[in-house]
Amino acid sequence: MNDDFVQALIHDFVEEARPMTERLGDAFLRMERCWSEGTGTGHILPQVKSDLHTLKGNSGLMGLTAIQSLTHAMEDLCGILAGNEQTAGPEIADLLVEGGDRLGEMVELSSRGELVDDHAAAILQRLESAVAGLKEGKSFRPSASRAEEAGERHAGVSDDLVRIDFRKLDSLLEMVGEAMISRSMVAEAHTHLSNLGQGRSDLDRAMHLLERSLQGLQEGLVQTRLLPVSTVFRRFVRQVRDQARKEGKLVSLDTTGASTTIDKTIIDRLGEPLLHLVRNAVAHGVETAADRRQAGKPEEGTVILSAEQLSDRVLISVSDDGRGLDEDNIVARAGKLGYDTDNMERPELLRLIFEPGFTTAESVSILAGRGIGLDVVAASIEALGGTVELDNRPGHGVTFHLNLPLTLAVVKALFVEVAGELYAIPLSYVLESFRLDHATAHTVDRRRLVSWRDEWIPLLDGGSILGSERDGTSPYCVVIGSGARRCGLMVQSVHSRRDVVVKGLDDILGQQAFISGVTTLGDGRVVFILDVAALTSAGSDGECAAGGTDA
Amino acid sequence: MNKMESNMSQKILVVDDSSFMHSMYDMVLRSCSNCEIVHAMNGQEALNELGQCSEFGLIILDINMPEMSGLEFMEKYRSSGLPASVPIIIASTEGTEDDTQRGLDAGAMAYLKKPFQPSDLQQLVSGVLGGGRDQKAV
Repeated sequence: MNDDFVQALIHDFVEEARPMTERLGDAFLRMERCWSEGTGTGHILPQVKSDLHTLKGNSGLMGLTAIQSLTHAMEDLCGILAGNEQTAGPEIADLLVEGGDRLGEMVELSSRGELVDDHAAAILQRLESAVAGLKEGKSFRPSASRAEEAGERHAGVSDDLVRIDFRKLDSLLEMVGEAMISRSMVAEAHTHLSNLGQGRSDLDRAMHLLERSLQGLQEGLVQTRLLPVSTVFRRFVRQVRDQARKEGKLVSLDTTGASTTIDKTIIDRLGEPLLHLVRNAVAHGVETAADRRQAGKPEEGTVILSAEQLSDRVLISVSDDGRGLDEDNIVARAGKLGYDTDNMERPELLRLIFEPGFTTAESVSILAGRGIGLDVVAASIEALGGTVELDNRPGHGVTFHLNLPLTLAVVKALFVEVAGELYAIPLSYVLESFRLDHATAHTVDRRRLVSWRDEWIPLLDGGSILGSERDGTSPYCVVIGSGARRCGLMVQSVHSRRDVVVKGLDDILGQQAFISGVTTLGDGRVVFILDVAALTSAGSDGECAAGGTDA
Repeated sequence: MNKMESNMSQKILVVDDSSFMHSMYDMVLRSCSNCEIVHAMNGQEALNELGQCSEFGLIILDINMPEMSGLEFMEKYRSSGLPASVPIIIASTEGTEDDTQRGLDAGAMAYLKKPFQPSDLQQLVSGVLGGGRDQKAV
């Protein structure tokens, strides 16, 4: 095939091959599990064979011989297995799982034009000799009856799907946002007209219908952005299997609610923090088989990933049935770092493990390694507008509860005015807003604090922090919170709350401190959306707190 | 007028479960200026297309497809009462089974083994379509 064809087609090839290799990787792990449990894989094999077959044909057309030869060998092996499953064991499973990994790599490499012909030479050789061995050593039974195969295929396939470039959905959603803005401009003009005594009932009804259909359109579009969390959960099956094997432990991963859906943007950024939690659970939560036996637990530990949706939030939890956190050690460490542990409630104390620097390499063993990177986990979840909670059951395990928004594309926001400019604050971060009584604000160590619900929280001057004039006269305080951190933000006035369509900063303005995105208003004005996680952490660092008299 | 009609009737029905293959056929057959490509993702969709339009000049058929395979399609197509005179080219990756032979036995006029060269496909297609037109013209 000539170069022009290859160039033009490689994108289409990769788009189709990528989900196939993911599905194959998944299927091989499921097959491994079936074999280890002594059950058959008749319900998995037909789809596997069909995917391998398609990949083989397509890669051949693209001249990607490395993929073509590997899929050919894997298809051969699966063909033998279809009639002779008792020959399958851990070695065969390893070959398939590893082959699946190579396929995934090779598809990615081919998308960049970097695939070399011998990329998978080693695994190919092992597969080919396994196939040759099986063919010689075992008699060949005819494959499963065609009717059976066709039936299974039929059950496994749903083809009412279209692949869409995610950016197209983004721009559609932006357009709907703009249409909603136009609608509110018309509504405003309409109000003026009716003030002039014009008739309104027909127009009223039309406006109402328009609003409803625009809302429906917006909700529908948000739905199209949602992906099942299984797309991120599935990689941990492999992670847990490999890690447990390496550490000589017995650990299984269970998932519940994997079909729960959440915005793709969140899915994309959820992998790392979840990986961290799962890795910690296997490494430091679950004990060795011997220790577990001694503790009267089953030898195999369990890590559970679960998800469920509660209105516009998605709750994801990572739990293990291991040894749990040693709370005495946490108290000791906290004392060493100067925390006043006597006056801390238990939840507050446990939350310390999310603080940066609470655990260091030297304290890994004390906390069974749990602290390393937990501050990073907490920060990345908070950056998504989520929270992390911890449930410790010493001797019985730990559960991390992540509470995440369903989508980042449309948020309810509170509009506030700071130094003459409007800003939007995502409502999920807003705890309260009130008129500031300057008698309740104090300056301690050059930091301004305000009393709120029996605690002192940092008070930030919106004007100075957002780069305008310092404006010590702002009469209102909006209390915002992210994770365990709270702070008060001084603003000139508090306006309405409404749904806004969020646009990223990247394309428009680059990165800006304390700003997480932008949205547009009815009159076309661009409004910044405040980055609450960054604001609250600046507040607690004391960097930007509203200065005292001498600042 | 007759000639116009016969030129316009050069519709090709491509039946394959891989959307990549459809892109590929679009691209390779683009040079075939007076043919129009209609896409079906499996045998059942192909039957539906044939039921709606009788003007196809050629069917390019994959064998391994979900829902309804190429061989099942050929069987159903023959027994469907639809005019079964549309030539069929089987374009399939070689499998372990003798599906290809069965397809040819069932009446396919040619077999193109995937992976194929674009020029092979172009030649075969223009042979079938051109031949068909010539026959009509004669």
